[in-house]
Amino acid sequence: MEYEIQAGDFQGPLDLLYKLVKKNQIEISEISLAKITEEYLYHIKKLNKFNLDQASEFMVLASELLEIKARLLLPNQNEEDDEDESDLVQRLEEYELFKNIAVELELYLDKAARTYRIPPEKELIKGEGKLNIDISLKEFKNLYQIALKANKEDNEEKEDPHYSEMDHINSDRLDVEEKRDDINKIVKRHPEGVRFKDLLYNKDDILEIVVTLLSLLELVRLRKVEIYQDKLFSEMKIIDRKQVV
Amino acid sequence: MEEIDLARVEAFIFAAEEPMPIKVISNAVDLNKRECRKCIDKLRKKYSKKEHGIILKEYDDKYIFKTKSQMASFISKYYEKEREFKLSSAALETLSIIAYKQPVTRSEIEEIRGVKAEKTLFTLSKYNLIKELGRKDSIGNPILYGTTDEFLEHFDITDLSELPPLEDGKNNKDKYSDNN
Repeated sequence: MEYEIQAGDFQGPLDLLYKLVKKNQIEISEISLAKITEEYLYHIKKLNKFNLDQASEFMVLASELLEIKARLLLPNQNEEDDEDESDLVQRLEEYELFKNIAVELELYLDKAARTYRIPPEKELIKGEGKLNIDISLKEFKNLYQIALKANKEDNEEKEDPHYSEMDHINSDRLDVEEKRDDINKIVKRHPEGVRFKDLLYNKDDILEIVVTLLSLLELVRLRKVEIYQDKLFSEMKIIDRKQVV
Repeated sequence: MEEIDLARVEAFIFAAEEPMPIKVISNAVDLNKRECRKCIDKLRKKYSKKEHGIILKEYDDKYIFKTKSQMASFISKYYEKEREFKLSSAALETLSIIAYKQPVTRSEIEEIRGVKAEKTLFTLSKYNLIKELGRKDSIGNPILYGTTDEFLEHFDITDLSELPPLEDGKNNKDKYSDNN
């Protein structure tokens, strides 16, 4: 997940230098940086495909190293010249300090991962998908009892020895057009409105329920009837549109 | 201290989803901070006993119950804990620098690591481990970075003074130098 362009195995010029120092098994404070300049340059040459930003980062340090080396080769060395080197050594030391701390912190992280806490309670249904069921507890209980009763009847039916689990083969006796006309007639006969249930001959016939609903939707589309519902999940009341107007 | 107060403090912290600041706890249970701290101390002692599998954790004066780390071996088999993030060594190094040197600017971090820190800082802020503390009163008014409370919790550190002393790194050099 962490994204940082890396040149080869090195996170940056200091990292490369640090690893060279370590590879040579020298204490940072004792190292003559001039000695590993060659090696540093060799690695830079090996890094291909790096971008300008990165290249410049590596080059800055390369030039620092070259400068140190050049000074070393020249006569008349004075104390001031040593400063560049000691500055770089100091930076390396500080880099090492944090590199080690980072390793230690990772151990903390691993240890911390071994403790658990109660996760934040998750909402069952998030955000917009939330259902707002605006019914009282009593109504809810009634609905539950209706469902329970329906289920019971269903089970009783199944206990009937004459009941066959096998599906009956029925002729295709339902079609939307026919049903639509039926509903239209029923609704006209009952200006006070009818319940969805009243439109079904057999309330357990899923096919009939589907066809009836489709017919009803068709009638609504044709603006023949209107459907009212007091609340979500409450019973649909179907009224002839002419009665409404 | 009344027993009921102890129970109330315990219940309130238990129900919390995030570490709870002492101020919020004392308001909620209607105790002053001093009494509240007494309750917390007592609870902490109580839960640190061996007979308890949970412990009262403190992060920068915020409190939350967690399971003891000794319990992890079997808990982890049943409750998969998603580690929210995996930090690269670059991110860890940058985070270490911020933790010890805060408030610190980006260029100060880059100076130490010798590479650009922009992307790493972005990652660390994305995980809420660091935040902007303000602006430095120098040329360009650079942003000052520091660690967050989430940092403490993720690393299970009570407060910044509990960070390993910087010299530790130096002394343990031999121990870790082969990790590269």
